[in-house]
Amino acid sequence: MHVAKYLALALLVCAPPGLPGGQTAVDSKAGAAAATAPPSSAANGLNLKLPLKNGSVRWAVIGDNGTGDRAEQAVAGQMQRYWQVVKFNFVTMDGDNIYGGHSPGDFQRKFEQPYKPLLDEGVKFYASLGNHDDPDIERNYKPFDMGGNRYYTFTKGDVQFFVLDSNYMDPQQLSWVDDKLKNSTAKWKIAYFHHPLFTAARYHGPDVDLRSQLMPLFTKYGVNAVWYGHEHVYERIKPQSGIYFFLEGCSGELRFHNLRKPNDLDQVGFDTDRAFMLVEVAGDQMYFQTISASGETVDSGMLPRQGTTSQ
Amino acid sequence: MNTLKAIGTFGLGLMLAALPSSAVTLQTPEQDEAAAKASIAALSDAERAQLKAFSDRVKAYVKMQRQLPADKLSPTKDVTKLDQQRKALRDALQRARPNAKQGEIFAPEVAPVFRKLLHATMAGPEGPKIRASLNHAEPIGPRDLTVNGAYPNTQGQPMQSVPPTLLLNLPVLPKGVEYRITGHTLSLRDADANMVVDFLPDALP
Repeated sequence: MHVAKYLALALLVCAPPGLPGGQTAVDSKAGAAAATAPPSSAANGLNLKLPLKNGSVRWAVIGDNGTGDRAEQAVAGQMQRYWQVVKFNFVTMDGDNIYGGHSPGDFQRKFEQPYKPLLDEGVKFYASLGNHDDPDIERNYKPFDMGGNRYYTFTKGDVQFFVLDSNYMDPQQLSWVDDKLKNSTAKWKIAYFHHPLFTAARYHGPDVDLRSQLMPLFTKYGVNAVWYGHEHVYERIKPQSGIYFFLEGCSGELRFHNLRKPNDLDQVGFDTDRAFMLVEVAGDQMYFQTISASGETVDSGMLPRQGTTSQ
Repeated sequence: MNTLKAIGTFGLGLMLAALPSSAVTLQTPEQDEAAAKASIAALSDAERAQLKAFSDRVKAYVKMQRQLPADKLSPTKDVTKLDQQRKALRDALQRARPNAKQGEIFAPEVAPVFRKLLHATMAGPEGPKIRASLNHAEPIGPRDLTVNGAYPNTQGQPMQSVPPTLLLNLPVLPKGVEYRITGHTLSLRDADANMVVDFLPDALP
């Protein structure tokens, strides 16, 4: 297993502040950092790692997906399989939703067709904008639920999502982020956008200027978790300033073997297949499962809300 | 949030206040370094006035755009309709300013002030991270920009992100108009019509 060598480093799992090391329950495919993983389910032949608790908030995460090719369709097929059991009712998108042309046919081939079974079930998609997206068209494309805005927020249960436009982080948007975070009363605050603040991928690397503007806000207002894409790999990054970071940018595109190995940033990295994520927030726990296009679970676990010790 | 707005305005104010009064276009590393070292000096009143005049021209453009009898884009599943609305708005803008040419908003008087701002920012302590951010974001090389023409992303080309620290050091734009970077060129893009409003060649070092 390719990831195994550098997953060994992930044995040094960084627990969030205030937690003893073992209380971050993780279960990666290579077995590294496995602790008290949530019980798996064999329902429908799936290796489900989420607990599916009553009243929990469940969603899927995709990024850099909009190719319209067979790989995107394969990931979408796995999403549909898991939806049958998980019944997640929305999907967050890390950007690069539509690559290349943006004709009506492109939207059909790169979005509407691959995700048709989910769209038909009423699953909503909340997009963020990547550098390959057409910002004017996509923010107004109703199935992306952006309401005509480059950046916006929405709330599901205990979770408030802050969807940012990292292509153009102007002073007005920074002001908006500050204001919305400051006034948020949500138990969980989750931000997502396209460009990575931390990554061990080689192709682009982290956007340090963006990081310098956003991290002070995220730490000041207690953002719990951040998702982004841009690099065409999967990464679960060691908590930075107590915040959980995921890079999910391989739901259509893939940059094979692009992660630096070994590296001291990732807890888990995966760069040999496409993937998507399932996430479930229940009370003070956030469960996650990362599933490849071939159906393998490449990462899973539970992360407690910062400042709590419940499990 | 007013804190960051204040910080941004303050930052720009600091930058404006910190720049040398002579309008020099700096292009070599030595000159960039000199600009950084000289950044404790103040912009001249005349240079501040030029930036104010620039902001007024942008506001006038946005006011004109909003008064045009063209449908603005609003959420729909119909991508064809969105394309048509955007094209209709661009056509209306072209009819409303048929003789627009490069340098009308980035007027010759303000061009050296922008170049000085950008060079000083890039040569200053935040320059390395701004450069890294520019290089990180799939940089777009020089493009043939045409005032009143469509922004060059209509064939699915990616749009280069603009580093936030750079934006914090430029005059704030009203909603609907954006700064964009292609190569060394700084442009103004109408974000409803996807149209080049104006551009400034050799703006970035």
